[in-house]
Amino acid sequence: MSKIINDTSIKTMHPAVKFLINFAVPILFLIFVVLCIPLSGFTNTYLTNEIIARLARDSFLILSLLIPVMAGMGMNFGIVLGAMAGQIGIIFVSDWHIIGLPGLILAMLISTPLAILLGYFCGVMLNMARGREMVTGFMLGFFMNGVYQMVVLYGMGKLIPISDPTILLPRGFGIRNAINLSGIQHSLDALIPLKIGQISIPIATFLLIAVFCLFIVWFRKTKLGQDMRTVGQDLEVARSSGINVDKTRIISIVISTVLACYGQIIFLQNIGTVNTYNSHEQVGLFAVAAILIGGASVARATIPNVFVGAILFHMVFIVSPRAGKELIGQAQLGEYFRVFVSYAIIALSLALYAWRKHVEKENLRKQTQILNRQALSSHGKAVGGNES
Amino acid sequence: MKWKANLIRIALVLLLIVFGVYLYKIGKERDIFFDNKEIALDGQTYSVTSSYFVYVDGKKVGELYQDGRQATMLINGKHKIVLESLTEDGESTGQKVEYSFSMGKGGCILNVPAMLGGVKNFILPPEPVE
Repeated sequence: MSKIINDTSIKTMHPAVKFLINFAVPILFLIFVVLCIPLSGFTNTYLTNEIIARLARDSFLILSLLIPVMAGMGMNFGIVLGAMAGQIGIIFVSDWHIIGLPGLILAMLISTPLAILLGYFCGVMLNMARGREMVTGFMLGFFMNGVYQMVVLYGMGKLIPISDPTILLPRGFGIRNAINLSGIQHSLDALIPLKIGQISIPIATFLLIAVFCLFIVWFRKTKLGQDMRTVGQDLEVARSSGINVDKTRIISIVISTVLACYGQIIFLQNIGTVNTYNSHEQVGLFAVAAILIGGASVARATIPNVFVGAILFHMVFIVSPRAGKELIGQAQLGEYFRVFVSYAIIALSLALYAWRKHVEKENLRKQTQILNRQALSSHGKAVGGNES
Repeated sequence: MKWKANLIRIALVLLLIVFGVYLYKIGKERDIFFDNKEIALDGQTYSVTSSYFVYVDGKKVGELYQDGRQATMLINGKHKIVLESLTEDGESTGQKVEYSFSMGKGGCILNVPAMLGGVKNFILPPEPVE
């Protein structure tokens, strides 16, 4: 009889082995980063500054992935829709010359209804594609990218009034490739600045991220949060418990999309420039890669996964071009390697998750067969005994 | 009761709209022009005395030569303007004059000779478009 590897047998494994299996991906990344840091030649101060800045910039976006995972929707690649909504809010605020924190908050206010609409549309589509949510979300991102580009390239300036010539293309309609956000740049980061030696820490941004983390912890304990967890665990059980499964799934996507919208605005205020047609494109992919690197899976993701993943992912971003240059002689190869790793990690994590699900299914089937055989043989013995 | 919940939701949405309008008002930048031109106000003429470097809220706007104009964008509220005198060669004399002013509705042309002459309302309305 082939060896059965399942949750029970995993539980009886040595804790160290169990830890290595469960956290294979972050461990691999940690080893890679530890090897590359000395090769890159960057100082600790520089790396610390970069990681803090990138954590402040990206954590909000990655945290927005947690709620759909809770509801069993997998990794929400549809956060791209939220990012687009955020960018549209930023475009309007830039056109109206609203600067500073009022501009940032106004951009969030303007883009919220759009993000809710896009999130609802995404949720309805994902409900129709039950079991294939991730790839559907991915495709929805591409589809909405086309709609977004049509609106921004042809609608703005003509149908949607935009008056600032520094934003409009010379032809009179369409938005330029890059919009300078000098008005709202660092408006959140510089609100409560803290400098420890040469290390700058944007306290206000981290406070906002902390509030979001507390929101997630609180949300899990609410009725809606519990409904989402139930839906995530078993749809049929949730339905028979009286939970409106479709509505709950849509709400989870709407919340995720709105939070991704705010995350993109926080990201852009840190960067200081909007690449109108590109900024949103890799958002879903990089956020998903980061959370998977942090040890999350399609079915389970926690807040520590977000921060561990963000740190490891960005470390790879920072050190691999220089490490590649020192090792191979070409920084570009290090850059290619980083891009390859970003895409490969998603594929690896999804493949591992699918493999594990398949093994569990097979083991369950074998266990059922064994039990059936045992039941038949004991019944046969009982009948034979009676006959004799 | 459902109508009560809907009423609260509508009230919250209206509150958000009002908040948005408030953010628009306090955050909007408007053009302001600094004129270094002779001006006659209330029967008195205020002449140009010098050229200046103009600083607003610590940021340099530019050089303001005689009969010249500089422009920048500012939000509503109080601002500090510093004028640093220039020689005829465009070099700084080291002399600085500091004023506070409020941006609000109406005026967007700050006349420097009027401001230096002690006029209270030295921010003038925009010129009519011909």
